[in-house]
Amino acid sequence: MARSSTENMITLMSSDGEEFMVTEKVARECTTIRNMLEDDCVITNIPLPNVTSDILSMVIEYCMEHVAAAEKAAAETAEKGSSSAPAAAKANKDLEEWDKAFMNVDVYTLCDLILAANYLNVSGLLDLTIQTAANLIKGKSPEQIRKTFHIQNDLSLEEEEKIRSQTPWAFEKSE
Amino acid sequence: MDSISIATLTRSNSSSRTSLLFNDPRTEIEIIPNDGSLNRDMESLSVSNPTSKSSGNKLKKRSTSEKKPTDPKPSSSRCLSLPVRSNGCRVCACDELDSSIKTRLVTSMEQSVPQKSGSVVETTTIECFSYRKNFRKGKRLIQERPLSPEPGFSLPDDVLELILVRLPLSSLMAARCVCKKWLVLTTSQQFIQLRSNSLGNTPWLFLLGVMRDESHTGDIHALDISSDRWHCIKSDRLQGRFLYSTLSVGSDLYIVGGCSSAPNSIPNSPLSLKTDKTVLVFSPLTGVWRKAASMRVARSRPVIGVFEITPDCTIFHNRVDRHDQKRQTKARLGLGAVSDVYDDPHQLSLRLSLRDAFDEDDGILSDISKNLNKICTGTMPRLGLIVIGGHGCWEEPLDSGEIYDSLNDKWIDIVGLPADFGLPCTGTVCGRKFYVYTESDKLAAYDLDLGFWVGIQTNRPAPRLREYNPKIISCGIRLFMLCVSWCERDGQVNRREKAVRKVLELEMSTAGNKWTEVSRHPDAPMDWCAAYVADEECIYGLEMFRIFGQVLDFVTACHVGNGDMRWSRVSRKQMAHEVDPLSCTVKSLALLHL
Repeated sequence: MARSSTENMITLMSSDGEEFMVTEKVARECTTIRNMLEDDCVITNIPLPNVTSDILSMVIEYCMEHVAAAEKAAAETAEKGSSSAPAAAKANKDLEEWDKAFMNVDVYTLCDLILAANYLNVSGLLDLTIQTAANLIKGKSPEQIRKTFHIQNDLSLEEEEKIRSQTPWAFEKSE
Repeated sequence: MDSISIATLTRSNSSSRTSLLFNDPRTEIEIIPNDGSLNRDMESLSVSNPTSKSSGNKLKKRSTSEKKPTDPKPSSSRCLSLPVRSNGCRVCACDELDSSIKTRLVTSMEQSVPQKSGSVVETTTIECFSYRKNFRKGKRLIQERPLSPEPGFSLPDDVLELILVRLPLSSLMAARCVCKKWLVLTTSQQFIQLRSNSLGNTPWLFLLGVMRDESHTGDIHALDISSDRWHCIKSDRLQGRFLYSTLSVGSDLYIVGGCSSAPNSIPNSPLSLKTDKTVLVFSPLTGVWRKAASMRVARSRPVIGVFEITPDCTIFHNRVDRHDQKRQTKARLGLGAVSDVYDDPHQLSLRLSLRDAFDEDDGILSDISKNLNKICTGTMPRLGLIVIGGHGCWEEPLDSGEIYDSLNDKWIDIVGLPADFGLPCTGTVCGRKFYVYTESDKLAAYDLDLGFWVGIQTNRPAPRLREYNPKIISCGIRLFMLCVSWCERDGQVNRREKAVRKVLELEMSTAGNKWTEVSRHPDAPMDWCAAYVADEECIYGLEMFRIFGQVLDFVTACHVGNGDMRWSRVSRKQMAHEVDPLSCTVKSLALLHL
């Protein structure tokens, strides 16, 4: 990050008017912003009306961590001439750990993050958040899922019974 | 404070409590549990109005019942959620807060102030961001108090679809029952196609033809390999039917041919059996059964394979009429591939079958049944089914063959296997060829593009034991055969040694085709009709046999990708202990990725 002063800085503005200074490299992690930058290279101030400041700060945090990890890996490869597999594996594991800790959020934040990642098109973050959401659903009963995601059950008992009777075997615990 | 605001309080309490279950632990630590405060607040709120008092009492009761001894935190969150909803007690609630949070909130607010003036270009990103980081923690703490009525987990459909598509099947079925939106999303044609291409699906083994108490129950047993669990799919569609062949096509299960006992006939006489030409299709994802067009010839235990019909397939070219050609170009162009001419009779039959499951005037459910209609008849890739041999109506062995075209739901005859090859006993599609191995140990292949048979000369593998059915299967582009022979020692067949089940691979080269042994099954071969299926990288086998008066089943798998091709047990769960021993000979196996 030593070169950050020489790099292009870009200001991202959240929906509530807060401004975030990031390097162009970090901003380019978001495909939506990258496309904007490629369309018009003099752009320095990007308003993001769909993202609130706290969610945007998390997205930037994610992008920075991943850019830093990629830079570190690239630097190591350049230093040694070839990347050493164990070091790369460890770096990957560290990043996974970081991702895991990063995903320790409540469902609302998760929901907002998914929306932001989708809007900004950060493929890594979208993948991570979606997998986290899927993991929250896995292994739960319909009732538990509703509770987790605060969803109103608008199916009548009969309708639910019909869905269950369609594939009753999938609801069995075991034979 | 009137009764209405009490009611909103109650709602906010319950919702914020659940939301906190998924809170960041970092923020949870910062909140100091403050048990008594809520009750005290509520008491101060409940005025003499009898209705509000009763609701307040109710809330108190609820909060005490919901309080879990192991987790005292939820109640503290109620205290947090209170101030926002009811302006009146904001101060009092804040007083109850731990002072450290308050200071933290204040400092983080102060830190954020210079940030707002956009003139911090000089500061490096890291510094700039570390501000943000602190700010975020404080901010998120504030966010814990829901400002507006809880919005629920609302995501646009396309994003929600991305989540649901990653669920394993059992979770998907549970997700279907969550609400109407999820139900509609997960039963749409688009969703099922999306899911069939995703990596989220896991292998399932479907075991058909299991008998209980000497009758063909028609139950399908499905083993979810990833969770090591047997499921039983009850169905009367296959009741009384046996000796059919099964095949997985996409996410559907095809049941081809078979026999059933004819009504009003003398049992155990050959005439009492009726050989079937019908083809049933079962979709485990939707639970829907449908009938495909019947074969031209009734067959029991035919040898079958599935392949994709590409525009290069000349088998159909001289047979298709003008109308079909028009439709083919339509399908190739990706235009609405469902044409009314062949579509209608199909939908009719499906609608009839769905009538059992849904009432037509059921609103949402009828929409879904329409969707399921579309899935079954819709824009799947054009797949072909090749069927050869089997036994006919009079138990006579057949050498004829036919091909099914999924696009126009029609069977056409193909040239039968030349008589000098013998009777086909097992077959599989590998590459663009349908390989058939015969009773007389000959290998032939039907070219699926050009439509002719070629004999494939191979070396003679070690003589196999006739009692055990050989089985050829394909894994990706590799062709394997499983057969049982006596164990060899120094190239000599030694009959005192035990029999082993070997995996042979066909190595094709210009110098000659050779069966070479690549693996041996570790279990002694007990099942004469062991069933084997394979996907791109793995061979799954199921042996079922009776030993010590008990029927046992063993599911094993062998990864083809890694060098040594070792077999391992997939499941230790026994599903067969109550089945009829006759099941061993009539069972059939199919592999689906669901």
